Amino acid sequence: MKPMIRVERLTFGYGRGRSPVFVDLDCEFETGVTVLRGPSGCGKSTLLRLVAGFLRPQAGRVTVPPSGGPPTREFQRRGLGFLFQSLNLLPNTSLWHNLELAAGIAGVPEDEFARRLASWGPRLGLDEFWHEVPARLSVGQQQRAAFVRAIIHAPVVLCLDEPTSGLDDENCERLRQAFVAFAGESRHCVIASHDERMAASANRIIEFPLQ
Amino acid sequence: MGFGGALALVMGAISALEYREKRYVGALLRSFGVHPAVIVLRHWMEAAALGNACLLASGSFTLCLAPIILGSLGVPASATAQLDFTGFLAANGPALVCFVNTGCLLSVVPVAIAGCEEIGRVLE
Repeated sequence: MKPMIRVERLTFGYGRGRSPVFVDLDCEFETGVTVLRGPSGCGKSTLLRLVAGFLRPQAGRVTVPPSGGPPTREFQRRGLGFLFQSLNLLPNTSLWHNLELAAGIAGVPEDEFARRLASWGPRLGLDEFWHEVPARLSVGQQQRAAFVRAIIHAPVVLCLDEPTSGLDDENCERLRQAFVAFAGESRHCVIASHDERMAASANRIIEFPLQ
Repeated sequence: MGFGGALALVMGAISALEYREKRYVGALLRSFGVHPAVIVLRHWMEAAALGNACLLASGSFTLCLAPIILGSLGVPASATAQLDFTGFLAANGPALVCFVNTGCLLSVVPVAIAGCEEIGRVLE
């Protein structure tokens, strides 16, 4: 059976007095690029966080490859790459150290880490900036650096939360080509975005809201 | 009283900022799959190392520099010679070590509480 991300009868809300974001939601994500498209506030990012195991569902379950079980800490360490909407690069340390931290926790050997940086740096126009702190870089450069951090350990599931927000067409295209190349046919790349430019890269598009 | 209040205000503000940063960095590390216990342990080790190093340094400086400082403030050498700093530190040292290490242990509590929060509610 093909490894899939499965969401079964999922119910989730952010607290008492607020209407639930999902009730009994069922969906599946195959390998390749899946774009979750819809307006702001419709639950795209919430679904990504539930898939990543960053939020706990109130009912139902999420299963992820390769184990076919719920998202565990081990999955987050080795199997998941997550690009946050606000990037969350550590501000007082260089891009190199930001990436080294993520790679080190995932257990990527140093020589392999250097090889991957040498491979992705020129493709994303970052090879001159590894020793800069994030504040000295443009938004586009920070966004690409955060993307490299998400893929540095070659995860099987890549979640991108609004990866192109605020990017011009050139930067958007660069990032789009990068995640399409990374996802290939064997990885899951799930993108939450309301950016129409993302549609061109999708193997499938899921329109939100899903209720 | 006023000085104490101002000091408490400054320290409180620093603690609040420190807590926000620890909460954020902790959530980021957990998003990479780090166990919360590792984050708490690391924080405790850092706090204990810094706290005890500062205690040791302050004890050493007291022994070395107090007579000089008191002398520069006009205290006669005969009076300074009668002060028993070594005895004071020997008598109060164990209590000071206890206070410092209790403080280090208590400083872990906010980090532990932050470690129980869902990552998705901390990181945007």
